[in-house]
Amino acid sequence: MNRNPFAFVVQATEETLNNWGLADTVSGHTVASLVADGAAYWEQALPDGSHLAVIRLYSPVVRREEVFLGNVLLNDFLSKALMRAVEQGGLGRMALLANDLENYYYLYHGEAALDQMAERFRQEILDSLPALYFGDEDPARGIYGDVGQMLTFQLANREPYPIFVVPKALLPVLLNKVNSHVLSLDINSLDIQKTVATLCFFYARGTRQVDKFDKKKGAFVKRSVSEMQSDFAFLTGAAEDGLLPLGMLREAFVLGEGDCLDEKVYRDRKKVGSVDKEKFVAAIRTFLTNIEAKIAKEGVDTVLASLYEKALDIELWELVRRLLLGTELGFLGFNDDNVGGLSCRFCGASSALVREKTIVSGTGMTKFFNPSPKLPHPKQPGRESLCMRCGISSYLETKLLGMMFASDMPIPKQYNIIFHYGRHNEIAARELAVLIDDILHLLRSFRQKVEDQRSKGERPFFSLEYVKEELARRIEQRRVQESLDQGKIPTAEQALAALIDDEATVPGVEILWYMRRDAETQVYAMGAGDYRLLVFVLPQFEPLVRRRDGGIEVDWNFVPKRFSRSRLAAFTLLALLRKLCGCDGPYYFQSVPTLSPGGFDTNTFYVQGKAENADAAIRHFSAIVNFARRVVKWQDGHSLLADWILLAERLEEDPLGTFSEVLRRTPMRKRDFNKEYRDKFKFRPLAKFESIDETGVIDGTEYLKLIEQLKQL
Amino acid sequence: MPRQVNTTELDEFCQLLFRTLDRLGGDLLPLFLSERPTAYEKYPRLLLSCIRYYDNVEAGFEEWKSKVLRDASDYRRQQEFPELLALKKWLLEHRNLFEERKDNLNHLKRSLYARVYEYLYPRRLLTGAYAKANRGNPDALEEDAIRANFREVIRPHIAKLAQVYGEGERLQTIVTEAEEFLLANRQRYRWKLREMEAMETPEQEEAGN
Repeated sequence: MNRNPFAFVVQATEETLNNWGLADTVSGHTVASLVADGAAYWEQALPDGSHLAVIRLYSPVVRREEVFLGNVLLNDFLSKALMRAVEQGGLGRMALLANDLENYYYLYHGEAALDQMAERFRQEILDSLPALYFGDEDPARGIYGDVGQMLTFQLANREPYPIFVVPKALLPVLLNKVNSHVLSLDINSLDIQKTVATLCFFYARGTRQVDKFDKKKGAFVKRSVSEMQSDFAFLTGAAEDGLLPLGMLREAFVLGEGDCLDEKVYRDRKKVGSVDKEKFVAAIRTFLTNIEAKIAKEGVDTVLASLYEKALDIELWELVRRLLLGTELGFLGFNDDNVGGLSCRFCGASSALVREKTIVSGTGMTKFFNPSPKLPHPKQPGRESLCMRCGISSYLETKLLGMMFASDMPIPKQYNIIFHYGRHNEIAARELAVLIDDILHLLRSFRQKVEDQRSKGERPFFSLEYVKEELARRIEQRRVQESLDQGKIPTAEQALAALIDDEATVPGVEILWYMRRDAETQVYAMGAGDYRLLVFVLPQFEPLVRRRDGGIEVDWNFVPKRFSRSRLAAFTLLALLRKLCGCDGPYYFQSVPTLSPGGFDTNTFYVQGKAENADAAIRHFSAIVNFARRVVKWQDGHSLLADWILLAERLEEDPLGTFSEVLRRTPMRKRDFNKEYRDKFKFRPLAKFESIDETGVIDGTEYLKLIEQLKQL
Repeated sequence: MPRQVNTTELDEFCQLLFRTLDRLGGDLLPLFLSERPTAYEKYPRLLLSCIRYYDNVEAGFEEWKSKVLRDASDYRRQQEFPELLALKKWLLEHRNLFEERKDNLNHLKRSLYARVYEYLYPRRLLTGAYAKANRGNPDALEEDAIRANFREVIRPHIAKLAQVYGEGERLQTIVTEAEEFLLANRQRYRWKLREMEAMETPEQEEAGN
């Protein structure tokens, strides 16, 4: 039986009261029962006229993929802003005892009433808005991510930055942030295209007459081009306006005296990399200085009219008011949404204010949308679709994860999100992230090595056995070199070797190697105190590439969809994370952690809203998943991961029926291994050709073992 | 509304059916597993089809029985007839599992190959191992020799199966049934092994040259 899951609240209460010198004024168990019951407010007067209170901050989370993680980050920011408001506002002392994604329970000591706290809370949020939007990562303040991650686009003309969520009043702060980001880039790794695209997006000023090369006519013709559509038009426009000295631009692109700077030359120089990066940075620096001066003189709304028009037209205090809609502080609610209009497409609770774009809403923009003849289409101005909370949640998600292009459209990067309660602090969370990343890098390095060997004509096969052998070799080398210390944090090699040795975690390792190579893992410890809610943000899966009609079709959603629909696949990933973190706290995948009884039991996996005993789930399903993973064969246009997930699901649903099909479509007899037949089978055999014995078929022990396990399902 | 298939009872039925077919001899179940999947499923599937056709266990069984008895081994069809009667008795007692139960019949049809494989593989592994170990020694396939040496010769294979089934009653049943099968089919093994030797010898000679 599980021990009392609220014991950590008792402990946190007693520690806090001891620190405040108020031990024995209230029992930790009383507070824990209040938290378990979901109490909004509880107060106890103290002899000195002050009072102790348990206060709940409630802020709803929208269960939509596009905004879910961002909403969690927003709530974390709000929860920390409340503590700052109380303590820095001199209203008393406040400590966070426990939290899930929507509810934050605080212990308060002081003399202030709730409405005073609420007022100070609003002010604190107002003061912290620039940091929330553009601040560097500071988990202690609930600030996550980095604006730099949002500025990795190569094309400026598809709205790659969610400017529609940024209020006009914060534009100067945003531009400062962009400038400092551009100027802080390392010259060696400077990407000219990305840098110009960034400047182009933020500093484009209307249209220009540019000499464009017309392929049909074979000559240059004058065309009117928007600066946002063409980086060359942007640079020449800046030069025409005297913001970017033409000489500096010519020097940056290494042009001689007689050379002409036209679009073709510009593109060729960029393509072959014949750009003097130091001079380019100097030119950009001059441009930024000049335009800053121009903005200071004429105002953002005049100089950058296009950007200004896209930004959100809202006063900051109104933004704070809308941000707090639906939240409750104790028994006080912030529910005064008296603005009419359409309701938000995501939460449906508040009125829409933010325009819908792919960088805000992802690939599902305007999906399932019924056009109304009386209203503009959501793609057009004048038709807002999202509320302030959902808009800013999407912004925060992009700030944390970065952006990417899917079929030429900019969208927030997609990740796998898993929650976990456990006794981990921020350092432990960071170490876990590093360890997972190291394991991912290790797997990628093995895969790269195999690809290199294949390109040289060798034929190694990338499999777990290959990884196992390679790991054993590396560990042995390291053992000889530096004699490993026992009890240290496991190195990636050791951790990976331990994962591969365990039947329950092997499928999880295989899932890891299907994750994208260009993304990194992030682990955040939400809330405060000893018992934390961890958020694992794991890279999304590699897209499925299909050859179709002579071209290539990239499907970003197929594998993630298949993965997230399968409880079995989720269990395998959770089993792996559980082993890495080494504690028995609950894990959540496609489930929202809640501090209600039964909502965060130890040794439990919550997948798709259903609780499953973790040990039983691992024991029960690892056999099926391992079998499925071992027999599935690579097929052109298929994802191996999706195929074995599907097979595992079918095995769970109809064990012997599916097993019959596997046997039927597996090469087992001598003749099946002939050149003529062997490629016609759908599954890989579990034993080699050499194991064909007196029975006339390959060794069947592994198959018999699985039948035994399937019968127990 | 979908109904849950009666897994436990169907498992019992399959064990009974496969045992009966195996004892009746002939080619009702394959001697060597290198046969195609249809050879494994032919007679069990036929019984299910007959029951489904008449939607009556008794009528279906009688039609199936006449076909099976035609194809069974001449000698064994007399000796093992009680097995068939036992199977019929079981079917009649459990007719509610099959009559108007398309779900159970369909589930059985889908899963038949895995079930037959599970039944046959361990048994044929043991009998095949014994026969192979005594290739070139026809005396080892005499009844007394089998009774005396069978378990000793196949000890490593029994150990292999013990990893799957444990050391309990189930493993003992498999070994006993395999021994009985070998005793009943020793002439077929003798003939088959001789045939295989004849096929392999010229190749070996060529390899030797």
